[in-house]
Amino acid sequence: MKKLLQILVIAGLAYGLFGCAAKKTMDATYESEHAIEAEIISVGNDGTKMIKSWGYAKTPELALIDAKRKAVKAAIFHGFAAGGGSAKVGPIVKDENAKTEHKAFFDEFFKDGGKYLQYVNSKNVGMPSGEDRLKMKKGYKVAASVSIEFDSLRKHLEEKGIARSLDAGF
Amino acid sequence: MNLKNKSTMKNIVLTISVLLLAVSMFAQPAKKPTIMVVPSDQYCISRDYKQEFNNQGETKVLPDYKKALQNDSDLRLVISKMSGIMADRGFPLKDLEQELKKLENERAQKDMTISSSTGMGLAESPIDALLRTAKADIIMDLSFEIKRRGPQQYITYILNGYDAYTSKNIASSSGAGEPSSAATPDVLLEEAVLAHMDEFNDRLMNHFKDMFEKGREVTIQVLVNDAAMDNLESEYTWKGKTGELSQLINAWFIMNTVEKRFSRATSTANLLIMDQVRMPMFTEDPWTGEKVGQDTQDFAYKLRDWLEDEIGLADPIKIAPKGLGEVWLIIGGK
Repeated sequence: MKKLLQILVIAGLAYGLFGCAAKKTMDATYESEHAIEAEIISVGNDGTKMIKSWGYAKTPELALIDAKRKAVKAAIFHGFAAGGGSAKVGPIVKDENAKTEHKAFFDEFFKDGGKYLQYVNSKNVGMPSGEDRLKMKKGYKVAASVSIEFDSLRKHLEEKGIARSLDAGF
Repeated sequence: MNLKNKSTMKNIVLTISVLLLAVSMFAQPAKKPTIMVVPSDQYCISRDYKQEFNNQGETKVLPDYKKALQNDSDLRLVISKMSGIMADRGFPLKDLEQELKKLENERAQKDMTISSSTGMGLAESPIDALLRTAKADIIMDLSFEIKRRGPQQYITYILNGYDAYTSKNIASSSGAGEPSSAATPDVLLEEAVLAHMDEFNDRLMNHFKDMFEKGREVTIQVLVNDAAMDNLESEYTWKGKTGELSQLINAWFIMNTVEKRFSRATSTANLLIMDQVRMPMFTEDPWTGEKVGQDTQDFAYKLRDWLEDEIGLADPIKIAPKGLGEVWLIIGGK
């Protein structure tokens, strides 16, 4: 009986340790800003960028919204690697501290139904399917093809004093 | 005075101080660099937009920008697209065609100027003359080609930004576009501009940031004319210490460059070359006391005044600008 109890305690501890770690890893993948997967698919029209971005959520609909939000986040904080015939695009906000310095602004900007939606247009007709919609253990991973109003977004952030404009100081 | 009055007074003083500080900070912005797009030598010469220039007996092949602009609609399209984007970012581009016209009008005047100088400008090529007339701080050197791969077409695009002061490459973006069999060359060219301007402007922004932090990079040459009484090895005393003129000039650069950044490239009895000189972006106008953007010539005038007033150099000093980022001070040159 004592041995059985010992085994149970060890098993419980092990679950607690490794289970939590696994959960944290998943959370990091879902929530982390660094987990943004977005790439240029083609050169957009004047002032826009055509982006494919991945989102995660419990339902495909919510994952699609997340993908849109992440596309805008990528444009602001990360930029995009060269691809789809376009050269590398740097982030609009180059100051690494801007995210924390202007936390209130970005919380409001990226809230559900926030202003970020003005700068992103979905190019998907209906819900993405096939390889752009993956069923995962805890939900869905969905890729959205979006057009980002990059120049308008940059101007908005410059006007708010969050991004530095090219002619700043002159 | 009661406590309430004291506090109101304090608030007024604080508000005025903040306002004054804001005015002093924002009233005098730096001189905004001017930018001009120029097709690259390779682009012009390979398409036969070229001219020959006789430089003291040696024939040189140079690009003919006027011919290129008059005959190449692709080039005009690309320049026009770039102008739109740059204007949107706060940098309206100098128009190459207008500058060429201005140059033609000024040519006669320039010839007269040369005959009255020491002859320093005689070897000026049409390109140097254009740069001098246009006074563009940054040149966007552009080259592109429409290529074919089977039924598909694609664009190779190279854009280099040169600081006209130093000829250093400060920003660039290049690459090949996605091949397409449906898009017309016009569409592909427009796409190529859009695909590369953000990368180029990001690098340009880094350059501007560096310029504000470390000053603008220029070259100053001090030369000694045969007619001069002194040379750079002549000894002078300043602040009780005696040294060669070149040493004293070196001391001036230590005092007047940003973070003492400069390099003594050559130092002989008759020639002193100071390059990678980081001069401050601003200066005080000697007459009005206003804080204004500084150019290389302003900086060289300061050195001349110091040599004449503080060191007591008896020889006259001529200031000869060579392009935007280089000035020659010729001792005994007037």
